Amino acid sequence: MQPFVSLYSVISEIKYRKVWRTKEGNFSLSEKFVQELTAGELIGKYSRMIYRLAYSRLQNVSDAEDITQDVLLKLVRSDKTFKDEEHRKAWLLKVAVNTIKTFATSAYRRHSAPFEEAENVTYTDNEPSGVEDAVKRLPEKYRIVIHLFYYEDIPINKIAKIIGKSEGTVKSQLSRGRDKLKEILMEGGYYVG
Amino acid sequence: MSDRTSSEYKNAFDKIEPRAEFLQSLEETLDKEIADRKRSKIKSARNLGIMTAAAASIVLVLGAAIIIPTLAGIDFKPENPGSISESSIDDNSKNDNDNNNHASDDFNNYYANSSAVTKPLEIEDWNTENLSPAECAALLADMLSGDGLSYCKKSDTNVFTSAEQISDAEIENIAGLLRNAEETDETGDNSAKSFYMAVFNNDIVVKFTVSESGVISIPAKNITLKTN
Repeated sequence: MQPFVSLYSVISEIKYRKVWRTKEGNFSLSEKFVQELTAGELIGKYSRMIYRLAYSRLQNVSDAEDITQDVLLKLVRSDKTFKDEEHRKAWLLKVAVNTIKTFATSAYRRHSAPFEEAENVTYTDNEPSGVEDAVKRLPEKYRIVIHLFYYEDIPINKIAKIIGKSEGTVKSQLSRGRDKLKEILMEGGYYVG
Repeated sequence: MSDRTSSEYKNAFDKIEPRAEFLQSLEETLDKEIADRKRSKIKSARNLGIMTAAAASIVLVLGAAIIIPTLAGIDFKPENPGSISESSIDDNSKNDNDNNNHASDDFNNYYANSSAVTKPLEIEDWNTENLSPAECAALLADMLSGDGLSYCKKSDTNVFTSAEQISDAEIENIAGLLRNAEETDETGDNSAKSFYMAVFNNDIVVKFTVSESGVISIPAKNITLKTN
């Protein structure tokens, strides 16, 4: 009898209290509804975050644009329900990281000649900084972790979930990436305190 | 990384902006995708309603097919092809007799062949309950434009055995007429008309006519409309 009672209580809860239950917890249906954003809102909120992450790893404007469009289309096509803003942002970053990884290892990219198009990058002023040049010389495997930690201010445990690695691996990549960045900056005569 | 390098990192990436043309093109792409998703959800909801109504009808028919003979005390024996027709024939009606024989043959052939028991159930009608004539026409237009259409034939008469299938462009043209149609008292009988038969993958068959004067008739639904 117990399973029937449980089933009835779940149906009642959904019907009368309008509560949606997910692995991450409970939230109301009205919250789910609010999450339907227009194209303009999606671009305003997330396009730069995805674009900068993709650019930090791929160092190519066209590729960063492709990744940005692909990830936002995945969001629109997904029926995923988000608990809150942070949940959606984490989902987008995870999808972006996976898309970047797939793109970076794709046959197209491996077989295409490297294309330097730094001059096509749109800066809000005309001077790329020493750090931006240093990131270009940073080994690819450290770029995403460095970007998520220093630009997006995401804690190590959450970065581990986003990139699908252990916290130990993230700490190690962060430490090595930081040392490498420091080394590159020192080589370039850039001040490191 | 020092605090200074950390803030320099942020400053450096703050300056990296996607191109304005890219953002504009992205907005158009996302707008189109969002609109497509909404249309597709509405279509799915309509199809679900149709399928639900059809499934309910099938359950009722099957229930009646089982319960009525049971209540009437008919001894159904699948291995004896004559049993149904013998018990249900009205001796006073020759036509009924023929029909019953025919029906019972189909019925018994159906059950005599064990593989036929697994034959998918056919949906014979499209549900337009609670729909106005214009909504009914719009639904038919969506059905014609959707993936569920198997083919559509055009004929000068109500017979389609040797009729040609019409092109996708012509189907879309008709769908457009249906979407812009409104109920009318006109019959369209005074002008030449074309007969159409649309066959859908879920075995729904819809016949309708389009007259040169723009009158569209869906006889099965007793609906007559005129395009605007």
